[in-house]
Amino acid sequence: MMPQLNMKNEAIYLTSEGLKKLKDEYEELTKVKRKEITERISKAREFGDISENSEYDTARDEQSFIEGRILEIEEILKHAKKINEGVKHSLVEMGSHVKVEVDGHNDDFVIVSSVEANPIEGKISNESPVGKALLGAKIGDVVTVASSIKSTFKVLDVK
Amino acid sequence: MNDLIKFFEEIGRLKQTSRRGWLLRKVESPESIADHNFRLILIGWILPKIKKYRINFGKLTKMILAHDLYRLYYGDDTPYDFMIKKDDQVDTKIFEKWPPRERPERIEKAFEEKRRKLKDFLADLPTDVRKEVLNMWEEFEFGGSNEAKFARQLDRLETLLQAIQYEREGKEVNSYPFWREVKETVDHPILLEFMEEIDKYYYSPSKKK
Repeated sequence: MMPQLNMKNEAIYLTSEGLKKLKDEYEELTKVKRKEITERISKAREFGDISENSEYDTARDEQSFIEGRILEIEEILKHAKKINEGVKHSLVEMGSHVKVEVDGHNDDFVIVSSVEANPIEGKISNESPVGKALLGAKIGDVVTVASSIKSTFKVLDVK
Repeated sequence: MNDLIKFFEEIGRLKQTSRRGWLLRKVESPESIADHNFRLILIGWILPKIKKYRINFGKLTKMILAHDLYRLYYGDDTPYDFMIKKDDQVDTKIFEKWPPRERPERIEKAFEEKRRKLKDFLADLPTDVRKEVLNMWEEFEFGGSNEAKFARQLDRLETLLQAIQYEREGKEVNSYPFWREVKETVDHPILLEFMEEIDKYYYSPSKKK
């Protein structure tokens, strides 16, 4: 299956950490996993009739997933643009570390692309409603994320 | 075969295990973990079809089916656990807001423990099946693939949908924190659209209570 990522051919902004993680995953997939799965498939063939061989089917499924992910990463890397980190900005932009007050407590976000978003770690996608609303905000701004149930974020700091 | 039957028997417990998040909110006879998985798979099947979005449904389904298995041995954890006493006695006011973020080292530790418990649970399965289930679970938790991201975000949206349903049925569930979570989590175009449609469906003037 061809990846459906970035159909608009836009730049994909990545932090240096995100870029490294992706390159490491690519190395692992192309140099280790691809070889492993090829070996598993040829071993499974030895079990006999491949039309009734569940290990063969599982391995082929896995192979198609690995190849799909390799294509996905290649597509991302083709459009990747490194975020200029360590530069203080007055407005929230890609790669910004944002301190906000929400629901009566403080929270820290980093605004990243969808590729490296991980909300559990506070890495919020620029395409999520919260990410979109925060982009362009400055210290002191109160940002409301639109929907019937509203949530409000006060920007305390931007780095 | 005995090991397999024992495994399926254990899995069957997910049909009776009520989701703890609802029990903590004092919802009577709430959905089970298996109920949640059932609707997740159905949405994951139908939504991409309707939106004409190509996704590896086999992979998506396997990930969804694997993602809650650890709960059988680890317990049904919630994001509020660090605010809740061991006997699950809780002031339900805490569920009016989304909880503060857990420290990364605690998340990491919990993940390792979940992986260990899941491995124990799968120990008697044939090696290739055990590896596949574990891989699917890890892919759901951390994977960068399109299917993994879709599954994780859909998991949150399905829970939001359930919260809204309970709230509308007059149960002690406040959907606000679930909304806050999905607004930080969801960025998949199909699921963003779905989120807007949920909003319109339940909150347009004619639907408001």
